[in-house]
Amino acid sequence: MGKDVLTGTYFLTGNEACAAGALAAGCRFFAGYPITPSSEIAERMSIRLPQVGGVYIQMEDELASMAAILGASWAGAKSMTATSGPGISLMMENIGLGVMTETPCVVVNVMRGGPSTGLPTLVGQADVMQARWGSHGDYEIIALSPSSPQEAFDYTIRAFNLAETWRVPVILLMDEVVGHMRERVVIPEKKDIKVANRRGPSEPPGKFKAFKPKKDLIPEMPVAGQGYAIHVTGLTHDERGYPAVEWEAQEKLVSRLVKKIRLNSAKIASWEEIGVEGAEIILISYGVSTRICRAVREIAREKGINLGLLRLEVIWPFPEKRVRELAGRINAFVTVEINYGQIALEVERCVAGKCITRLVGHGGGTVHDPQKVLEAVEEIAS
Amino acid sequence: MIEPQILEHPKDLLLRKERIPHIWCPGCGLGSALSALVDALRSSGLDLKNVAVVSGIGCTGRAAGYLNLDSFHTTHGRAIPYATGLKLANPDLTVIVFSGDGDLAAIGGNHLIHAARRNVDIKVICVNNFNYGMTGGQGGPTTPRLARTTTTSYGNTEKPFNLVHLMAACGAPYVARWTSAHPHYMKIAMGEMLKKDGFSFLEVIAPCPTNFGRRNKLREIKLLQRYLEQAVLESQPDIAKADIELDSPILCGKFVDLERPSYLTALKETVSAKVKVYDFRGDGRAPLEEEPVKPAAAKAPRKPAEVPSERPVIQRPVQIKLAGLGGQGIGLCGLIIGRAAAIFDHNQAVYTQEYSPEARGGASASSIIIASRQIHTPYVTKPDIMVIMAQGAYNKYQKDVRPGSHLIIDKDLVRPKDLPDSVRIQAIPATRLAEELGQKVVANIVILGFFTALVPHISLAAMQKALKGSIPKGTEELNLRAFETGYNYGKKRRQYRDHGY
Repeated sequence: MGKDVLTGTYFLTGNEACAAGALAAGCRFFAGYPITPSSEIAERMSIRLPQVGGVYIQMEDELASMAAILGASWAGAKSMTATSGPGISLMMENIGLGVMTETPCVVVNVMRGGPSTGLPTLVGQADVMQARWGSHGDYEIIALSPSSPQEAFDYTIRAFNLAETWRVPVILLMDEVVGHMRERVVIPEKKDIKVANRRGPSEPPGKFKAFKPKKDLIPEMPVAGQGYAIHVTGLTHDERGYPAVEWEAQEKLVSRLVKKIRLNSAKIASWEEIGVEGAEIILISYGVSTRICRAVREIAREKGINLGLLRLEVIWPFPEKRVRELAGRINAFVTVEINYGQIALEVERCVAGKCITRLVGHGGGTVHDPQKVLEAVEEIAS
Repeated sequence: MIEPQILEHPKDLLLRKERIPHIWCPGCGLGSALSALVDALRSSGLDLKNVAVVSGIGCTGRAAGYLNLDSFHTTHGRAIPYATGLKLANPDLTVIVFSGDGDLAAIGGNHLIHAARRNVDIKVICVNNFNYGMTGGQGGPTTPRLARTTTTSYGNTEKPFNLVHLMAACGAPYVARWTSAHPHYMKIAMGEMLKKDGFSFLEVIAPCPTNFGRRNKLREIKLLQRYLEQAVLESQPDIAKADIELDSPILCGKFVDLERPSYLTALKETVSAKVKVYDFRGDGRAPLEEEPVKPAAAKAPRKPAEVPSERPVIQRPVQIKLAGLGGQGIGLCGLIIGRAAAIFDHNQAVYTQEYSPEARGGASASSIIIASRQIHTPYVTKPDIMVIMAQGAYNKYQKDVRPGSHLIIDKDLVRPKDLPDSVRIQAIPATRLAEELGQKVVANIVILGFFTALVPHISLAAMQKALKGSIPKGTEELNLRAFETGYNYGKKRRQYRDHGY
């Protein structure tokens, strides 16, 4: 019999740290399908979950994996799956169901190069927009991006806490480099790990409406077996959960699904500012690319360029307000990401012409050459 | 005059009355199937609080929403994996999947066969009306040959699934078929399924007069009458003869009823003794034995992590690359170096591995960067030190050997050539020394000892601790001797040569 939190200092890959974080957050159900470069998460969960009385199941595909974690969540589990590339595309179907039915769960996407089969063993960061809107219909979602194995551990716990609090599937957007690289990871004592749990029903069955929101726009969540005879559907539904296929119900439900994230974004959005005060140029980045940005920042400072870094911890919702504020004070934002412009477009939108915006992107397979980032910065600075 | 009393219908308890009338057409078989399920549940003795129903999409998919139970109306085809999650997260639940033939056998076909194989304890009721009713009567995987639908106007040319045969072939321990004209038998079958521990499957042949019937000249009640006439009831029906043609008999009955450990039962049988956990459930409510508290350990104060006095301070990140052939254990060497630096020397270390498509035998490399401050760039771009254990690896990675860097090689296995003069080569017959120790396989640990003697960036104490924690139990003595052999070999060489650190 094992413990769920193995307190200690380790030298772990991001994938291993992610699995450790899931267990520490209370995850006891994992359904998945093997895919490079995320398989180590499934492998680790298959060993660890039985040790703590949880369930690991390998499904027939990613469609099934995603469906299974939603079902498990409605039976009271903190559930998770992990995938990459082609797998996350298949999961989009039931990520939509998770959004519509407000089902807490965590989906890990260890990003590799795409489109299609692309670069199975090599890094990419091109699923950022897919994380936001990859399933059909309009919605808002939460996505986080760790840049080290320690953050993979920490952010997996955060991902579960956010999913439980805001009742939405939360995507942990790792990338291949962070997933596979090893670094020191400190797993704290169990008592020092903050864990959030969904809010259960405060009324007995009968009067209770399973999809009636509280003030924070989040409904209380009963689960199967509690006697509430809940009805959960992917159809547009009313506060009882019953299908209501009409525009008024659509307006009421979908606007709330969007607003519960947008209006609470000050509580959800999270970023780190490194040398931003007084900076003329600010790099915006996430995941492994932020490591390159840190290196570039040091070189630029030596050269007398006042370069800051805004590192996105939570990618969605995007720190719109902060970027807008900074745009009025600085010369330029340079977005550094492993794609040909995804967050860069979001930055442009928020900046709205108030400062220069540049993208340093590439197609994936490796991390950025710091020199390329530096050149873009120097070109603006000169 | 006696006032008529309106009593509650006995089935009302299990129906969401506020949702009735339902959407189903007159003459549809779904009502009978749902009614049979209600009867089966009422006489099952189950605590209905613990019964959940899951549906996919389509006319049948709406059934979940009419039952006054925990009910889930999911995505098209995914009722079975969703139900699998519910069941494995809370095994106290009785989980019923009630869905249609298109949902379960076409878009959900992969889930259907795997659920039967896996034998998760869910009860699948597949109402088969031979077409996609809700979307207007298109052909599907169960449409009989020559039948007309909106997408088979000239007659269906494809062979349909024999669903009961398919389920039996996949290992389902309970398989039955009835038509909606057999409410009594349906109820009996459903009752048996509710008691079964394992995947059970009931096919209900049901009329769709509006779509399937109309296009095949069998309107409303005629279709049901036809099924009743076509049905052949047998106590032990031959599953291979259960194919359905437009005019063929419809073989009904119980095809399979056997005992096979369900998914959770098999999990307990196989895994429980190994992990000493006797219940598995996703909702975190599995009872776990308390960890026995060791009195001495419990009282001992936690030692704060010690920073070794000989901790090397590394201002500029040092890049190390190790290369060999798959199976030489070069990855483990890198891992030990990384652990030594990151955990025991309290420095920073980043370890990455190059993956080649070959599972074994190809040249592979692992890289470590060590520094006393935060390391940004994860990849080794300009190695300061390279360790190469095989000629194949040398040929592949020679391009990375930079002027002025250090190259550590297995003397007998690597012949360096075409190198800049400024490369400082340190050679050790690691494999030969390992053979002398009795095990060629520890050549990597010999070279690790050699590396430790020559390279000042990792303390000996840290390396020894990392080594102990990284090798399989029972091999400690051999590995420590291998390490010592390499280390001593390196120390001797250091006495004779200044290698410039």
